[in-house]
Amino acid sequence: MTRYLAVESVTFGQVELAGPRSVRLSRLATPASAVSDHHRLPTSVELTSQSLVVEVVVRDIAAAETLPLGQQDPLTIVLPGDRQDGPSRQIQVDGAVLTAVELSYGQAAAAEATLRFVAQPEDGNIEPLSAEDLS
Amino acid sequence: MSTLDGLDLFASGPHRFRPGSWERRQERRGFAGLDGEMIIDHGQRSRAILQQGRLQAATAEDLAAQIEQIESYLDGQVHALVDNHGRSFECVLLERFELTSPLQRGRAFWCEYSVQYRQLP
Repeated sequence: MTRYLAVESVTFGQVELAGPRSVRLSRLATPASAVSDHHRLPTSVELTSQSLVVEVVVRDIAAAETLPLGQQDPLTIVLPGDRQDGPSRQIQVDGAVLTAVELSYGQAAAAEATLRFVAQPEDGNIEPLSAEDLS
Repeated sequence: MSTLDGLDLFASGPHRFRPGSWERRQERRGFAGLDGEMIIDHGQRSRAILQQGRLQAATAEDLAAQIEQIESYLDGQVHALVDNHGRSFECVLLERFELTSPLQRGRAFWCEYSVQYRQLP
């Protein structure tokens, strides 16, 4: 089982999204199933669209307050391993497009920003997500 | 499994058939002051059979080849159609074959299509 202690850093282009709380990556597709008239269950499940969606929650909202929607840059996430000798994990999403920013200023609570990105790689057939262990 | 002239042209994806009703050509006449009407029966004509489905292939070239093979049956000749349930339809013309979706890339290359046949008595 792979565990990570925290989200060490999240960088969007040249902007560091400080105070990261959590990161969630979702691969999404719209299924299109079809069935013949002599079958009960679908014999073809195809995908009409696929996307990689990233949601980042940060405590330091200063950067999030000024980032323009639609900005496109690489998104880099670093996760430290849960042991001293455990390797960190670096995740990179190429061509991440900022599609939503939600700022939350709670009463007597830390402000929080949720940023959503959708990957738009240069070539629609190239995987935008890459991940590697850092030694 | 369906076949057209014994060939499994549509095996790459699921598909379904909907045979229409036989049609008769009739002429109806009425006369002033008389109840009822006169019907002149000109005889049985034809019926449409509709097919909708999905074609799939590992490559776009393979998918195009499937489409071309089906289009080659738009030849004005009558063929023998057997549907997925094994029901036979003799003297069938392939009248129309069209893609109802773009060629798409998902798990493989695929597209939706519809076919209209016309069966003659």
